[in-house]
Amino acid sequence: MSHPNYILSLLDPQVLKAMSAHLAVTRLEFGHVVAEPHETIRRVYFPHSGILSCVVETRGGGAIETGMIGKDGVFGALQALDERVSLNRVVVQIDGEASVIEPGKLRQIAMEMPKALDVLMRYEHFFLAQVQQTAACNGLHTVRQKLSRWLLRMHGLAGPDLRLTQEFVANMLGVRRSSVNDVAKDLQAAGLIAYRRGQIRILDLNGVRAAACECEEDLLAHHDRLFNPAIHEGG
Amino acid sequence: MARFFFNIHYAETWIEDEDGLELDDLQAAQIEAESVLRELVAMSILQPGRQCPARVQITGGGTGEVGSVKLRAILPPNIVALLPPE
Repeated sequence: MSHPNYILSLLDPQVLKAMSAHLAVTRLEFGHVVAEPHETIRRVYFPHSGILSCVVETRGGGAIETGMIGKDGVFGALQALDERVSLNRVVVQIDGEASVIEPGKLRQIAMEMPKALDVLMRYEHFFLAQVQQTAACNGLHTVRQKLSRWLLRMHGLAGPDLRLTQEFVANMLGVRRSSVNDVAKDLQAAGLIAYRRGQIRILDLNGVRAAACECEEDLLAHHDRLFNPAIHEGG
Repeated sequence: MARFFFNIHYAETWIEDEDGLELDDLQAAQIEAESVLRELVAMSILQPGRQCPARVQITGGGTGEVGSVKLRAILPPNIVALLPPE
């Protein structure tokens, strides 16, 4: 059975059928806070479109994104499984739609159906890999590489037209807005993107890939190892 | 609150800031410009081949230049001592 959310599409038809009775569809509105730090989550989100962003805020007022969740993933499954709270703020970065389920109901289904638990845990491994890769990237790579890597991930989840201000992008990357402006103009001059206020369009995906660091490619390799292990068998 | 724009000037070219940033006052804009210049200078040191900016110009919406931070202002004193006088 196909589903616009990749994680739900991986479930056995009987598991998805059991879960579908408890799933509702909701709009993801830009800026909506899905979870606050140290608060019990109210719903588990399986995005069909749009992007959720996990943001770490520092006491000095700074903030940086540590992970993105789109149609490839789920937010709140791990917290639902062990009845814990969200560790950081999660906000809607790009408008979209998601299937949602109550945490208690997801926990019950996962405990009764090990195949569902297996899929959810594989995604949590992938998300941890994403957070670790993002930490490495933020510490080691240039703003040009980071911005290009970030645009690649955004493209993979939301397509080539992105409604984003420089200020927002800067907050996600943990750099100053003027640095984003400087680098975005550089990428624009190279014909890789078009930027107008509040709107980024990716014109040359291969060019952006060449400008990026290796982090997105490595992350996709992690994804393949977790979800398509046959690709990596025998070699 | 007012919107300030931070244009980045290199030796032979400049990057216009079309978006700007809402800040309390000119003093906050001056602090922001200094932080911008520090980050861009660091980027130019970390990334071979990247130009180092000469200054960050602050403008208000349609009011022209209201402030500026030059490279010299953010460099450590021992480096400034090596530079020719302005």
